[in-house]
Amino acid sequence: MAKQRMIVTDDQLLIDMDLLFNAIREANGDWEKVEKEMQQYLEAIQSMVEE
Amino acid sequence: MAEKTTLPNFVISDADEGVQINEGTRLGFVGAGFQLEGFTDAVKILKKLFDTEIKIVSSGENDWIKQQLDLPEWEQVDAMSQQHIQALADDQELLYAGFMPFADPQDVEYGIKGHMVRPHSVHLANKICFTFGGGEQEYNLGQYLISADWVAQANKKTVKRIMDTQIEFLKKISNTDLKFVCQVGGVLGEKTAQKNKSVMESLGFSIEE
Repeated sequence: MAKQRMIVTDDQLLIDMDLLFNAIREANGDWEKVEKEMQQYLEAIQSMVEE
Repeated sequence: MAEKTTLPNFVISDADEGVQINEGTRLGFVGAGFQLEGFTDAVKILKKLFDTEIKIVSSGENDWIKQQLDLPEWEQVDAMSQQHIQALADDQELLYAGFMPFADPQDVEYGIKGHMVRPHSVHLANKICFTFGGGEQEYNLGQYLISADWVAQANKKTVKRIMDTQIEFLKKISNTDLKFVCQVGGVLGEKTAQKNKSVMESLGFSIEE
């Protein structure tokens, strides 16, 4: 079975560790940028659910 | 075939799982077809099948274009994607509708609306979904999207080459093997969809419905 890569709950983004580190690598190690983007992503998903 | 007036508003986009088209019916190709061998053949057949003007969009973080142009930064990739997909539209006589960004859904030209819905720099898909009956019928963030709506009318060698190229690339950006699934609904009807599916299966692709 293909592994699950991300789960979104009401207030959490549960993401595969490899994907998260790849995203940080992609951002040249700027983890704060990735953290901010993930936070924004969670907020965007939450607002979609509330709509 | 359905009357011209009832046809969906078809739009070619990248195969990325993050491209969500809110208004328009999506036909997925890696890189939206940019420098993709066999794309011209596919477009010719799609135009004949749908007998309607097909649109094309560029989108954010296009991995294929990043690779093809060997660009280091996403800002450059996004800028180049817009230029190159617009040029591709002219070349293939498609209508360039605009750019799908990582933002709220955007109304672009020709009645197309959409945006990117995955997180930045993260690929969540663990499947490739082939469309057989007339583009994407249902959006799924867990699936890359490849149009195979045209394959029954194409040369099998061309089909094999374009599919292998796309599948290999999507596996590479996912760092994992990908299961094949499909959507068979759409204006082309069940018979055509099954013909397309049979061609793919005859080429060795094992696809679940």
